Amino acid sequence: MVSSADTRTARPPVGLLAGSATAGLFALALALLLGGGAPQPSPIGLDSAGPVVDWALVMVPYPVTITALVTVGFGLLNGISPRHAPTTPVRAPARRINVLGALLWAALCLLSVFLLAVRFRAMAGDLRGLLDSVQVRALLAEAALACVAAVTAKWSPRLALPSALVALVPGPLTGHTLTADSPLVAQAALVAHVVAASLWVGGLLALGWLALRNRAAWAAVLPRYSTLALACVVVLAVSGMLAALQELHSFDQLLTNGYGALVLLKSAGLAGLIALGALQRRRVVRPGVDASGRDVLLLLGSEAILMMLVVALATGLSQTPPPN
Amino acid sequence: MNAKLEHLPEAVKLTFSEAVAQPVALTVTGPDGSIRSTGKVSLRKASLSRPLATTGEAPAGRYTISYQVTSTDGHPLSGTVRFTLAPGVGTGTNEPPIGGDAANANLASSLPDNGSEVGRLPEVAVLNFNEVIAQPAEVRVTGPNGVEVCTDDISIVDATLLCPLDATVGPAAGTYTMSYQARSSKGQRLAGTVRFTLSPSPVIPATDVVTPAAGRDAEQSHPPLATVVLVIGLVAALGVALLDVKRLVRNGFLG
Repeated sequence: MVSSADTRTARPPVGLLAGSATAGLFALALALLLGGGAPQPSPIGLDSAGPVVDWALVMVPYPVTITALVTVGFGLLNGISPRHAPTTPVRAPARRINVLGALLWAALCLLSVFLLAVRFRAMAGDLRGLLDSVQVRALLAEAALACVAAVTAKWSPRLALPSALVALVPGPLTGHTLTADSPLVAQAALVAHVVAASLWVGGLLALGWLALRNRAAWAAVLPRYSTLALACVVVLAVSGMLAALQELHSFDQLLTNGYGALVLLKSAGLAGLIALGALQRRRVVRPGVDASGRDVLLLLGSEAILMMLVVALATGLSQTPPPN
Repeated sequence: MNAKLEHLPEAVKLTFSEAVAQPVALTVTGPDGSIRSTGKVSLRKASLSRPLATTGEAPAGRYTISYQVTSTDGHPLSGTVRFTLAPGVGTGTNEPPIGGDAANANLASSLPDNGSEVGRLPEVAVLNFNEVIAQPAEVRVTGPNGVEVCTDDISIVDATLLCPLDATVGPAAGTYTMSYQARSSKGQRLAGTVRFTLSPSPVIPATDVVTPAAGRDAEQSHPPLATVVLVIGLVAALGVALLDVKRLVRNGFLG
């Protein structure tokens, strides 16, 4: 049994975090190459921003997503933490991570805008019309809303989660959903999908951090998160199926097309995460603070690794041209 | 398209199967490598156009239209379209290869081109007219075995009639007949037939003709070495993560 004041100071799991994040980057590059979303060389006679900018443009959405997940996850943690003793020692550091995550999120959105501007200038010769780009507008809105999330996380932790969730919205309103069969259905499904995924996966990240830092606080928060996670998984499955149906018109396309193959791989990854979640409910949530430390670490580690890979696949999928 | 022209047109115009967005770029390169396009690129919904230099003699040979656009869902699309200028002629004021005004509406070009040989069926059959067309329109693409490969999902974008081809029917080699019917904006009936041959081996190099519609799904070529390096990197990174989990478990981090 660990007291509520037992806030760990041992070496953080740098290898786990760096390894799984790097694995995600490699997985994203592979998904783009094999799925058909990788940047193509410019045709003869046309200026290009160069492969570095082109590749940066398709890779930066991954850290954007990770920082968004951290912001939502720690916003959730701040929102659902009981006000009494067990979570007191971790509130301040959790809030700091929340603010930092939101600021990084905004900065990475602005980096994406900068990269788009570089490509725009290389292609069009000037920057006139840059702000007409739906992508640029969405990224600027996302950056502004992420800044608002940072401010609310700093001054009003209970509002940190709603403001972070609002900042997730501009992204799904652009991209594939604009060319879907029913844009409104696709956009609604994707917003629900992104919000549910962010609550689930971001919450998992924050809970993992809490488990390593203060087990008593983690045990106090875990039951609340577990109930929410179950609801998120249901929303995720339904909205994911709706979104995929908007882009894929036959089962053949799952096997004969890069986009379809990525949908399959992402679904398999999500199924794995759901299985780990179910195992976690049985081995960790029910015993609570008495759960075996080995079980907690193995499950958290496996979930973190698989989660990074699924996020990478989702990022790759969002940039891969759908078959239709 | 690979059309053969007797005169270099005053402008080129590309029409896509759906609206495209900025940033856009379009350049026409002559057979001697010189840039023949001039002025600004104009974008109007699904059409991209740019004037060509009308001064000096245009060298005969193969011209390349290179384009880059952004689809409405944010994907960059790029490709090339080629046409040939016949020897002994120069700049003229004839109709451009795609689009342009004419007294009577008629077919300006098509993909596949009339009488051409293709190595594989394009994903979309494209009929470009020299003026805006309207419904009712009909396209039938019939293979050598009598199988209809044009789906019912016919669409009209300005002066272009598009019909996605059904790749699931297993296209047979041989002569294909593309029959079309449409009405011009002035009510003139347009009808005709375009024939092309599907040969088992590609006749046109893969980079020779890339239509805007096919550009989205063009096969990607990537060096296998890059894939191998990425797989090794992925496995190594996963190894680092798993070793750290093992270290945490061994050290009894959670007690």
